[in-house]
Amino acid sequence: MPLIHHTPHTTPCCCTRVCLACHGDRLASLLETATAFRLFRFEAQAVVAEGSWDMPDGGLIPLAGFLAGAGVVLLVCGGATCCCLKHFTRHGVAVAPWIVGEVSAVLSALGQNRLDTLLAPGARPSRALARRVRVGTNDLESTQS
Amino acid sequence: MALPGNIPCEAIMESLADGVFTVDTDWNITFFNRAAGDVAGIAPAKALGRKCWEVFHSSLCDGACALRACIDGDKTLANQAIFIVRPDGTKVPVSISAAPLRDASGRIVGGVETFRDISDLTRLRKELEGVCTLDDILTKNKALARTLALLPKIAASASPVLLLGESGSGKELFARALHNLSPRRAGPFVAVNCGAIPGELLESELFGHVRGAFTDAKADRKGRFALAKGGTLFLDEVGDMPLALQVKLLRVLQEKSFEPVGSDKSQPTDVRILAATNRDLAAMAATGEFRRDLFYRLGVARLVLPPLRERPEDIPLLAAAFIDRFNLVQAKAVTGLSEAALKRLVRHDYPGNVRELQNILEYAFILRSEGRIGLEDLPDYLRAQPGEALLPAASGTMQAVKHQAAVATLARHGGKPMAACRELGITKDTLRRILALGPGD
Repeated sequence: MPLIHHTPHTTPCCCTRVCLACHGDRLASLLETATAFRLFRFEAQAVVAEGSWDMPDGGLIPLAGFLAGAGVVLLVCGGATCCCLKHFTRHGVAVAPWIVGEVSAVLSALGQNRLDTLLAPGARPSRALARRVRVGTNDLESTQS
Repeated sequence: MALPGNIPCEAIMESLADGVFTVDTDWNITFFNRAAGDVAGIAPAKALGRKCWEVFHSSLCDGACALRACIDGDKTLANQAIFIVRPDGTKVPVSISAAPLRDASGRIVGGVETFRDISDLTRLRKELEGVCTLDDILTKNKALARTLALLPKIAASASPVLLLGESGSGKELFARALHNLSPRRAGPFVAVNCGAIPGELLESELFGHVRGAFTDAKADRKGRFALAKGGTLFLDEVGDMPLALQVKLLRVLQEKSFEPVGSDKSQPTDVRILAATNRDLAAMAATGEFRRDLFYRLGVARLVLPPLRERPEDIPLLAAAFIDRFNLVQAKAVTGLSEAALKRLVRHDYPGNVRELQNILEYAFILRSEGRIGLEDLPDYLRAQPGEALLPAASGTMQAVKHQAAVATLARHGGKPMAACRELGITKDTLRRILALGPGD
């Protein structure tokens, strides 16, 4: 997977792990139908692609455990019901739902702390977004919704 | 047949009750009618120009797109049932139809998809078929939510499950959910109420009989174990099962085979057992009323369902769901509960649990066909609760009013201070202080 570099004005990073619920090169339309969960590590100068998971047998419940175990602090995904989101909340993984766009655009928006610009039409910012998710700083620790 | 040239196509589209949207060959939305906006929960203006998967969050968007299949295969599709998730997080079942769109030269220039909300139809079908999933179990109660979170894992195993809870607390609902979450979901779900069938008939009911097994056995008859083959057998009120039959059930659980009444041939069984009771099975096992070995064998996984009085936070949620269901089934337009009615419902103890709440609202629906259910629509026994008459009509000092309210609430809860505190919304210390001060002068 290619490295995606930050723009110069990105805030300093501290190796935050973020997971994107994807279908192909874009975020999946729905969290529960995502076909790949791509893991990225935000470092000072670059975003490093660390790997990808398929949806595990058993669906979102074991996935939440996997992500928490892998040190993921933020899951960025498309549409999701409250029932889907609660598993991640329970494991302490913050979720930014109702985000749309291609993976590169999402990573860029994350780096610039502008994930709100990729909000799906009709969606309202989640609590994680409302608290300004910043993958480049320690702020993320306080965004768990 | 073409439309006459002076009839605006867009006006027709806007007048339709079904949602309609069109896309170009790059999947950008080029038209989105008003009904589409209503069903999908998105204003048409916000949808135009966006990729269809960014707007229409459906179960098919990630890999199984119906519109793509129609455009690529140059075919049409009709009435496929899928679901979409609206931006407010609600899941809406919809029926979709799709077709490619061509220009005047016959070249494909995009596609059109129509869809309609089939929530009511889906709910009616679930009612008729007795289907129950996790989504049908409504709770805000933390203890019950923890139990719900365990359900998929327990469902995936083949172990017996023992559901414990008072009558009406939803044991069969959980049993059905376990079945529908399990790998046996395609098989039958067979329920037997062990308490409703006389002991001497229960053996034949469960295991079947062969011709001549007893006086009226004129032909072979399959039992519930045979009928549930490949599926789930739910033994309700298992605590009422006679001891002699408990031995036979234990053997089935251990040997995975049984003999029909009157037969000496063992039949293999492929059934998952779920059992439920409202009795204290552990105490019964201690006194010998229930076989201890069977108790442990059935209770590999034990789920305890709290009574409704221990989860009052669920009452508004359940009431709203019952109102929705009765509105649908009885074609009424009840909008909800008045504040007074809701307060009364929350304060009730519900010895009959969720079933009692359902019956209370069913009664209210007899009296009301629209508007909000008021106190006057509730059954008599709820309108005049014990302790209510003790409450003063806002007279006397504040100290006296507080004292009378505390005494009345304590009486209503059989002297249990914590229950009284919950209802009054005060701490135990405050309750103690109010009682210690007395009514005053």
